[in-house]
Amino acid sequence: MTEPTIAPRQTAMDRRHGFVSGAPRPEGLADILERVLDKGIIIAGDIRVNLLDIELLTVKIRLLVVSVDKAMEMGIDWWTRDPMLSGDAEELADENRKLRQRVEELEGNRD
Amino acid sequence: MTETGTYLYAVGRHLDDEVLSGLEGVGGAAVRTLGHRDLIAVVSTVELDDFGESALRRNLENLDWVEITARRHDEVVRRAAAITTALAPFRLVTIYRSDDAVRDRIETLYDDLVLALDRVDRRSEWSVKVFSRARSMPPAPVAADAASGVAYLERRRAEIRGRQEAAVDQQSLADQLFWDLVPAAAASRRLAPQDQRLTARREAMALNVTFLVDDDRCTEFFERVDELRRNYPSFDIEVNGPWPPYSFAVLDKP
Repeated sequence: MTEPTIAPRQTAMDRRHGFVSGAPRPEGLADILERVLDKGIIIAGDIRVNLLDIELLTVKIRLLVVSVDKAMEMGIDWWTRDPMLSGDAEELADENRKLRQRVEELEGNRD
Repeated sequence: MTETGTYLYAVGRHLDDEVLSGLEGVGGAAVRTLGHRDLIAVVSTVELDDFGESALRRNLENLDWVEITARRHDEVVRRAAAITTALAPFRLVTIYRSDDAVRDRIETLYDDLVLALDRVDRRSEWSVKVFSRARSMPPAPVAADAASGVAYLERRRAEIRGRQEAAVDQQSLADQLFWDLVPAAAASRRLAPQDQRLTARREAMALNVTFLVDDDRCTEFFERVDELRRNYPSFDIEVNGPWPPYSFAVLDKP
């Protein structure tokens, strides 16, 4: 094994403040997306993808770095009706099923 | 045989293959390096069934897929950044048809890449988020005719005005704080404040900035932040880093 030409970069500052370069950390998703989607060298690859075209990215993800109030001002409020964001989709489906059963029971009892 | 492409994470100098070995890239294939002149590209092979044009259009609509891919992409970039500060991260899903296509692109961008790398070499990116501490409103004075509608409306108007003024005050204070910290860094970029539901904090984010700081002026930067914590008691200042230089290793030409 050859010795690395440059020693792994870890400054005294990192150790003092408890930051370890390269170690996995649970960074917030918003912080990561803010950087990997909008920053970094933005140059066309061979596989063309216009991130601005993608509705989800334009609204849902960029929303993560824009205030909700501002979005609502602009008339964007789909998340208030989106089960994935306003609750657990599975939980809702479950609840719907139970409610439907209950309604059937009640309608059955009326007969 | 499924078609494949080459996913590009970052380009830098002095990147040792050994340290990146064993690292898994997006889509599962091993991370590897490609050399061109004195620059090294950090790449991995991806299948176009998942990373081709139409596949990406589909996958990028899926928040789970985006999260997994973004975290893996960032992890690879971080590992490279742990080896060298002369690193230029690329945006998510920058994919080329082949390894040679990556080398060709590096050749075309060479001069600009070198400028970008020189700009961030021996520096790190630090995120500074400033939150307004919740301040309790002084209790409204109870007037003799407090029960009257007019008095109530006047009190409400005063409360709202007070909150609005406080918000404006906080914003100009946050701006002041920003300018106070700028001299301790080599460069800065203001980002949009993040929504409270994401920060999971009760306080509003008054400032979201990212700084490029000389590694050997790091102590000074942190001391300056501590000083600002004392000078601006109405704010809670959160520092995160070091980040790979996403916000600063950018090309001058579009």
